[in-house]
Parts: sequence; C-alpha cells; structure tokens
Amino acid sequence: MELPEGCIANIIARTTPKDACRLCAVSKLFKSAADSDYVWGRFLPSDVVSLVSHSQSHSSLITLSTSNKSLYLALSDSPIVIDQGKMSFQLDKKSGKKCYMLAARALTIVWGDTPRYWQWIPLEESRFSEVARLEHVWWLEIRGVLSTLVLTPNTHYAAYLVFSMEEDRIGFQDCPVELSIGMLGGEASTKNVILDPESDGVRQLPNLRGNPWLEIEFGVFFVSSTEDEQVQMSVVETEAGVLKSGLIIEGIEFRPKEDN
Amino acid sequence: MELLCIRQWISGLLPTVKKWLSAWCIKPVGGALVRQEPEYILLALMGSPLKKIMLCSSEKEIFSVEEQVMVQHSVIINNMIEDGSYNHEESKIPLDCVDSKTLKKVIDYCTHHTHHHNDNQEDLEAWDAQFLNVDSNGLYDLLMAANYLEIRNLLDLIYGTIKNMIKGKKIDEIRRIFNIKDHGFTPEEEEQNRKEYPHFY
Repeated sequence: MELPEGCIANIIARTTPKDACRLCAVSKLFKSAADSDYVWGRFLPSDVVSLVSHSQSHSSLITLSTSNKSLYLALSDSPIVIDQGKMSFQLDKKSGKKCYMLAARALTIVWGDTPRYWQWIPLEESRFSEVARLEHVWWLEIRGVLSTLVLTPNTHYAAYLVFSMEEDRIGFQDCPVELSIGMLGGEASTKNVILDPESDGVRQLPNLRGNPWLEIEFGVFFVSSTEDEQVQMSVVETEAGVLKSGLIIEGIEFRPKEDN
Repeated sequence: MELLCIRQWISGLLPTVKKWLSAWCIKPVGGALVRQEPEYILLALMGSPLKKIMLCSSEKEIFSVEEQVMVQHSVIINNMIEDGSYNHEESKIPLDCVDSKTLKKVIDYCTHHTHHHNDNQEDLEAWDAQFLNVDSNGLYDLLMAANYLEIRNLLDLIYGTIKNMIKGKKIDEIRRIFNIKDHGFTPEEEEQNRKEYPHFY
C-alpha cells in the first residue's frame, strides 16, 4: 500500500495542526505531505492574506513567510496589531481559529476622555500603543462590541476582559463589578465578579495570563455560520458609590472556548 | 423494436420537437453541464431503459452501468462524455488501473447514491459505513479508484475514514496501517523525532 503524497496530504488536512506536526515523524513522505502548503493552507483562515496585509507592521509577514506552515506558526505564536492599532489578531494554535482583542481605544469608556478620570498611557508590556489607566472614578462603565463576522463560524467563543491592577489600587477588593455579555437584540447574561485578584471571598476572581495581565471571562457565545451578529460586553459598577482607582485596561479578547 | 429504428422514427417525425428538446436538454449535474441526446430524453420519458455506458476493468471484464449514475459522480467520466470522446455505439471506457472487484464496488457506491440521494442522512451514513467495511487492501484499492475517477464524495468519505483510523494512534501503529517498512529517516533524524514527540512513540 503506497499512497501517493497527494492522498496523504488530503488525509492530514482533515486532522488538526497539532496532529500535522506530529505526523511529520511517520516517514519522509508523510513529512513532505504534512509540511505542504496544501495542508497548512487548509488550516489557515481563508482571508488570512487580506487580514495580514492590513497590519502596518506585519504586511511583510506574508512575503517573509517561506511557507503556509511558517505563516501559521508565526500567526499563532504572537498577535499582530491591525485596524490602525484598535485590534489585534492571532490564530489559536491548536485549532487555527481566529482570535481577536479589542484595544481599550476601541471600547467605550465612560469619562474615558477626561484626563482627571482616565489616562491613556503607553505600556511596554502591551501589544497596543496605549492602554487606559484609571486615575479615579466612582462611575465605572466600559462597553465593547464586536461583529461576529470576523470570527471563525460554527465556533463557541469566550470573551475576556484583559487588565492589570496597580500596586496601590483601591475600591476593587470588596466591591463587586457586574460583567455582562449578549447579542444585540438578545438576552444578556450577567454576573458579579471581583477584579482584585488578592481578594478573599466566594465571588469569581481573575486569572493570571502573563505578567502583568489578568483576565476574567464575560461569558460564552456561539458564532453561527450565516448571521452577522453584534456581541456586546459591559463592565459596570455605578451603584456602590465607592471610589475606584488603579485599574489598567488592555482590552477585551475573544478566543475559542476550550472544548471545541 | 431496434433502438436504431426508434431513433430514426423520432428524428424523422419530430424535427421541431427535437429542436425544442435540444435547447431544453441541458441539465446541471454535480456542477458540470451535460447535454443529453434529445432522442434519448424522449425514450426515457417513454419509459425505455436508461442510457448505459460500458466500463472495462483491468481484468478486461465489462460492466454496464447507467450513464447518468457515472456522470453524476465521476468528473473524469463526465468529461469524457461531454467532450464527445465516448461513442455510445462502440466504445467502452478502459480503466486499466481498477480491478473488477473494486470497479464493481465503485459502481455500487455511485448507483446507490444516485438512486437514494433523497434518503435521510442517517440511513446514507449507515450504508456508507457498511460499504467501507473492507480490509485495508480493499480500502486502498477503492481510494486509488476514486482518486483516478475523481469521485469527490467517495474520496471525502474514504479520507475521513482513514483520518479516523489514525486518530490518536502511536507512530508504530500508523506505520503498520500504511504498511510503511522504510520510513526514510536517518538514525539521527529518528532519534530527534523521538525526543520531540516522546508520547507519539
């Protein structure tokens, strides 16, 4: 049984990127099939060329990549900033599905334009040119919206608030914040969480995602293959009358939920 | 009545009908447009046996099969009929790389899917699963035949099945399934692979 390379490539293209890397070890012929542009072209999103060429700093990524496989690995290793610095794009390594992060600048932050409440500062650890730093507010309200058309269809996605806390933050340890997520025109699901990771108590806390960033999940939604929907998120604390300060927002990230 | 006589009778009696049918007899089939001879459409409408074509296996065995069935499934056969290189009166299509046993199975697949395309998905999948219940040599032969004849849905089915066969398997098992006696790596390369994917071995 001597399968031609084309047939082997067709079989491997139906597995996963992780499997395709492993299957290189079966034989030299398998390696040639598994590394082929055909296979990795099937793993890359169909609009990858236009996505990457719209990134100012990374438009050379296409020409520098010697193969579809190297392009896939480059895009899944680190995000590229697109849309004039308002979003970042990356591939989920395991599945090849699209991941996006809306920068803080792409969100609606109430009082965000008033410097005594919020400052926009560059931060070395951020992928974006600036992040939003909370000086102080009583009224915390942040909203974001994303069209599901940019995401990979037929996938369950989760949205995460990506943020950091300064040493001298106040108002987040005991005061819960309401996170909400839902489709425009549909029902929203809400929950109350604590943003300060050093808090005690029973409410959901954020997870560390890579110094200095924390993340906390808004919730899950499903991207259908046919409809263009708007998914809306909000972070709200406006009732308690508690002064809050020391929160840094990088953005809201969308990535496939694990058990896809 | 001889087929030839019927044809002459129709051609003689109904020139306008023939012209109308010529314009009308274009039907899309699996993405390819196929023109049917108008006389045969009329025959089909009259309930005569559907047009057949002859396929010849590598063992020189002839299989007669409905043209419609093969044209719907095989891009290669569809192209042959469309570009006129197949003459119904005389030709048989030689398939030198497909043996009789495999050709019969391929014909079974195409015939079933043409006649049962309105069945529900579950029944079709169950039939497909039963159809592919063959040993690995049989599967290989079917894959090669489907590849040669360019039968898209059979190819997808076989590729999906083989993908499931290797899912989660260790490298030695995969080499056994594909009968790979010589993997082609140097001892150093094999060693390197073992280090990179220890759980795969």
